Amino acid sequence: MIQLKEVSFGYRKQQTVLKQVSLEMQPGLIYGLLGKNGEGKTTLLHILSGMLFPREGQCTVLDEQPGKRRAQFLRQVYLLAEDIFLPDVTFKEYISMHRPFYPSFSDNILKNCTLSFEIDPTRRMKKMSLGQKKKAAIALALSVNTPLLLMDEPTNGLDIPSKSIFRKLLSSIMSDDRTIVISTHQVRDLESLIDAVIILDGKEIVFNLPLNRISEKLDFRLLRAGEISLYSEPSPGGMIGVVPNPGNESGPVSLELLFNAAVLSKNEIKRIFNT
Amino acid sequence: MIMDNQFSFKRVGLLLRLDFKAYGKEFVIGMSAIPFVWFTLMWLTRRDSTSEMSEICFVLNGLLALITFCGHAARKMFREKHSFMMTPASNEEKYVSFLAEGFIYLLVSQIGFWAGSYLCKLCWPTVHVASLGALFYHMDINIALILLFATALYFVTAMSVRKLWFLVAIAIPNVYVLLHIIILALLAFSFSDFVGTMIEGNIGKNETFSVTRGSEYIVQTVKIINEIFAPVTAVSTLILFYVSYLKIREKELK
Repeated sequence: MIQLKEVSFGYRKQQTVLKQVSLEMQPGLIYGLLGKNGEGKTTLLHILSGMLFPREGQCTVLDEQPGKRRAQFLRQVYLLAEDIFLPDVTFKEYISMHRPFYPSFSDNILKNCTLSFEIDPTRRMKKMSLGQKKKAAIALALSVNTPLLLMDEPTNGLDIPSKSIFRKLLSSIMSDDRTIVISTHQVRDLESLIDAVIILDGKEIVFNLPLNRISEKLDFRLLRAGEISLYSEPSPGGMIGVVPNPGNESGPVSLELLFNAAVLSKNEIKRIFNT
Repeated sequence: MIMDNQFSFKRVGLLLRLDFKAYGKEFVIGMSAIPFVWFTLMWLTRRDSTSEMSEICFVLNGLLALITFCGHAARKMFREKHSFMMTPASNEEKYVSFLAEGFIYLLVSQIGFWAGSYLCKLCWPTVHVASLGALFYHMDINIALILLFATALYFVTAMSVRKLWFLVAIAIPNVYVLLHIIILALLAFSFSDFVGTMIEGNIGKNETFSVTRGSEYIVQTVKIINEIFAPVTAVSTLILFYVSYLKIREKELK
């Protein structure tokens, strides 16, 4: 579905944001795109959606070059940006403005989102709070029902119950022919949701792996005294950390620990996954 | 629902509908102010009004509508890029929808202008207001071309420059005029040198002839410039419109 071959990008000639990034994404998975601030997560999403063009390399999404922004391509991809623009219309009007452009639009998903998020369709968007605006934007993003959905920090501004509703809604729309890419800082919000993790660090992709593969190779647990780990941090019960998994038993993956380990022990992590 | 890569007027209509839903209120409020603005202006200047002045007002009204439209287009291109530019329609359809919007802005502003003029004439029958007959009589093809060129220039600047596009758009014609002055001054300078050489070479022989030949060159140059002005402006306008299309097609939405 998505293929990036040695893609480089910079906003200026001297400044490189992504350097020779190669990546493949399969349909039927929810990808979590993790990285520190300014590492190029949003840039990567913008390249995938066709807003930005690679300086070098090739980017193919749904068998098209996104940069051409052809109608056929744009109807299959929806980017939920972090800074959403909402006109001064009611939610109902907002939906009716966009619905005709998306043949795959699903009224069932829209109904589900409207009910779950308790959106008042007659309320003007400008008068909504930040959280309500975000819910309205998410409702449209899910309802257009595109094969590729790109989401930039979707849980920013959502309260705790809404985050849980968001996870439920996202799981309910997932199918084998759809790919969802979520860029986020708030890894805990999506821990139970994502199927694969992409970590961006130092202008490159540290790894792109499904969670089951990660849990086969790494163990996330309380550490014994003096035990050497890839990354550790104090917790109320003692030190918790990431260690290589010696056996084949796989446990739950802590995205936060994984991210810190990937950033701090990049080479060691690469070595573990390459063996 | 037509959703292939072929150009579709239906999608152009949908883009216009989307835009009207989002900004219709703003547009209606702004445009409904036009008759009152011109009415007030004509009322304030009713004692010194001349038909030339009202014709200038007519041109100004068109330019103001154009600037307002370009501001709107720039906002869609830069501030609301996720919304408009990522809407599933082809670049050609987006471009045509931009042009159609520009035409609507111009048309509605003209209706406002004539409504204001008509109101003014109703209240003070002696006041000079623009008349279509006089406008057509005075409207030279070159003026029309300059207006079209300005339209294309404003539009391409609004599509290219993120901030202060309006100032850049004003600066470009100024630089253009300045370049003209410099070129003409250089031409005049070289002609005077040429005449000077002719006079020097012909001292005591045929001075008057040389001076006349020199001025003849200048007259010829101005004549050629006048002749080529219309086609050059028309071609430049077309090129600018094409560049604005390329800007939409190849613009990175940073």
